[in-house]
Amino acid sequence: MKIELFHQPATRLCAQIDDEKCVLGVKPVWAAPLSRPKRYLALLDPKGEDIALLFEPERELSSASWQAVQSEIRRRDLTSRIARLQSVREDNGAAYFSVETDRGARDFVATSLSTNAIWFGENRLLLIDTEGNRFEIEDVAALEPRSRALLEGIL
Amino acid sequence: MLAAPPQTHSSSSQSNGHLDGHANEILIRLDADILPDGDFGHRVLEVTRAEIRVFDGDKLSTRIPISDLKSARNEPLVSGGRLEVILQSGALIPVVAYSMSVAAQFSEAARGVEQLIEGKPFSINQKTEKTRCEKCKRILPEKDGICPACINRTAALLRVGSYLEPYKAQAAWLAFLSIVTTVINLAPPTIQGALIDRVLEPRRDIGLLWQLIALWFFALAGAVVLQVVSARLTTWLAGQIATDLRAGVYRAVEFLELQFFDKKQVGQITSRITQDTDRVWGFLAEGLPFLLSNLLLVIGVLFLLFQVSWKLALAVMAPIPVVVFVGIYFWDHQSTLFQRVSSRWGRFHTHLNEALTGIRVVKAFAQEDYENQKFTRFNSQLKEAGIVADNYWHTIFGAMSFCTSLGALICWSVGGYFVFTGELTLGSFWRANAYLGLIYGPMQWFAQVNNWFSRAMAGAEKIFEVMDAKPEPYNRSGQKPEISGHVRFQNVRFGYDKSNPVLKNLDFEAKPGDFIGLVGKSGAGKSTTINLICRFYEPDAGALLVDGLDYREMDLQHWRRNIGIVLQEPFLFNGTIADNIAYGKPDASFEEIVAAARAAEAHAFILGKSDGYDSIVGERGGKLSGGERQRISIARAILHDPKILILDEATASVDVETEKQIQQAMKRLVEGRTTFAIAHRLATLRNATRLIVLDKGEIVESGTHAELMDKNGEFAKLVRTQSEINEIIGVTQ
Repeated sequence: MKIELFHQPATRLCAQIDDEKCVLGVKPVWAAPLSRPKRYLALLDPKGEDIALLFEPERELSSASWQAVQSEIRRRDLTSRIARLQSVREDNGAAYFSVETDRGARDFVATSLSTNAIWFGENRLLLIDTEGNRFEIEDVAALEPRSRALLEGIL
Repeated sequence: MLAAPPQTHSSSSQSNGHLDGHANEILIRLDADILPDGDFGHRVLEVTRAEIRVFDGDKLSTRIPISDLKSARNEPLVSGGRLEVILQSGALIPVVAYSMSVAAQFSEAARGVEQLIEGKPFSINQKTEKTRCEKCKRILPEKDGICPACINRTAALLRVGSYLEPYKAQAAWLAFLSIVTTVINLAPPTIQGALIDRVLEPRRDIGLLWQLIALWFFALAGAVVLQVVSARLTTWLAGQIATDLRAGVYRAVEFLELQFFDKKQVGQITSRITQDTDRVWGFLAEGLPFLLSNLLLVIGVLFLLFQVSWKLALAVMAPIPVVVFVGIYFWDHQSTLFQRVSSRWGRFHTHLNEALTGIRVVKAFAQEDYENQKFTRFNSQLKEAGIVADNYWHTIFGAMSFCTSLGALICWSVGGYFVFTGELTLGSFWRANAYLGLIYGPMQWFAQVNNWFSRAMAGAEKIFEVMDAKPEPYNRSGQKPEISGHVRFQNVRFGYDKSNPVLKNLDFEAKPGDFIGLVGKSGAGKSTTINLICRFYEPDAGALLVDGLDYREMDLQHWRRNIGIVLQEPFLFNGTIADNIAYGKPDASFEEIVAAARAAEAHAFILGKSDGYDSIVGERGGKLSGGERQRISIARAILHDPKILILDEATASVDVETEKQIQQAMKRLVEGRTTFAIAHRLATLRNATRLIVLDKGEIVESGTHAELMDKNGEFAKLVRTQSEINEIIGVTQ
């Protein structure tokens, strides 16, 4: 199956399938975004029905389609990637984080870190704050030493 | 975050949908926190009756006339959402994206826009939950909750202290004993000093030696006795206060409105009664006595040290700030390390529990090695956390010990010099040295007491938050009339969220002895109708009349005593079968219990159990089958003898054979009572006096089973759908 993805209009992702069918309002969704990042991309129609599952989308899609998908994913997935931890403080079971992310600086508070700090593998970490916002550290080992120390102090 | 609207309007505004000259009145003004490129930032959404506007800073970036819109919706995104509108042309326009922090407000905004599009009265909930502390602006761990950093610890302590009121005499004795114990503890160094100066150095008056030794002995013995008495008294007092606190918070929880339970998880509420009271108890039993007795001791020692020699006192006190600083500075990190050990213990325990509970699955899939790998990982993480915490602890302890020893070294250096030059007697030097030994130990722990105190007061504050929450309107002085069972819903409107009514203008009546079947799809309002009858919630508009009296004028418990409920999943308490049957009538005789069980078709299976009516049903009735539990709950309802009976899917989760027996029991149960029944299997409502068919909170049909089938309306459609499903199930089976 050959799939081309593009925005038409600028706010709506469209999928041209085998030059036959065109689906408007396609939602690209990672099937396992944390354990298998950048692999297994599902394309859903506006009703949420499965159109296709791409095992290695970057390789399977044309460069233009891959770019269109990436920009749509950034619009649909507001998870922030933490680049640096400014401060972390624990007070009465609540952890107060001040972080720099790929979307800008943010303060958040997380409780019950045993359930709201989820490790995927050795170094990938997902933090979920009290309001349900998601913050991801793609590689804890790659953080600069101070951020790593702050994180190790709390987790 | 909801920005303050520039124009004043009520939190839940309501008006007619006409453009009545206020087209530019801002109905909704919200701050969004995601920029068009996906970065965090600030945008403002404004909605008037005429248009939707989005501002990026001061710049108007989007303007869409309401008249151009077909619909509005919230598109859920990962970690946030997006307000989208669909134009009359069918084009979809993303208006503004937002994070989860403001998702609830934008969800309401979409509903408000929909109302404007459809020309309906504008009525949305614009009440915002407090997410930041008003005082320190820090994010709150729980919305509308308390800020741990800004707790008024003195006020909380005073309120905890008010629980001492019934035990004033014991508390006064405790304070007195603490002072006497401190004074006695200060005596041995003074005696030792006198021994050296007046007996040992001059080598005379051996009689005085024995007198001082005797005095020392009595001081030691007296201190021990007083310490034991004080400790026992403290334990007793702390136990009393904790018991009173637990009882107070439990009693408060029992009478809370159901909305409180809707908002909070059961775990959060139980932790108020267990963990938080335990924190307060821990501080009262150990922290407070430690603080009081050692504070008195430090004051006493400093006073006596200055009496001996102010120069020596100043010299030996030099390391004290260092000790306190080390305690405060390093304890924070130590506490985090201990918490990490505790959290890893939790994970280790969870894994162990899971692996052993699921041992059959592990074995069946031959995954012993895989589970062992996981176990080894958790075990190793636990070991590492433990080693780090203990190593850090030993380092701090070493630093503390060094400071303490330094104090002794200074005492010997300065004191030794003073003795050598004759400025100080040997006895006085010895006294100073002994006093020093008394206070350096407690000094190390003072920093922790602050931490201890903060946690205890945070716990107390959480307890008081529950105690101060709004209770149900029990109206204990309300009327307690004899109830015949005439129930009338009079134009009742109700919504869990006041801007989104679940029941709209509900109007029907049930005469005494009527059997009313409530029918409708999921979300039609059947369970809400039942909730209103039980007065778990009260109507927002209209009234529910019982024998002509608005039931809000009645004593709530009196009303509920007249209601019996049989649920789909009956809840039994861990106890005997007899106890459970008699739950609604604890003074029932055994003969009455047996009669109720007989009527509920439960007597035979009860007698089939080894302990008969004394059989323990287990937690939530887990030792009984679903059908057995249901019959016990019917027996419980029969013995309770209510005027109003509620059957909520009472036969939905049992097999056909059991259902027959339960139906038999039900027949007896409903006799002479006004019954409201919800049943998924519509055939079970065939004998109802009347069926009320609900759709989206409104009555769409009403009549007997036969009448409604003849009418061939909504009810007949539901029956046909069910028959088709039953046929499909029959074919697949």
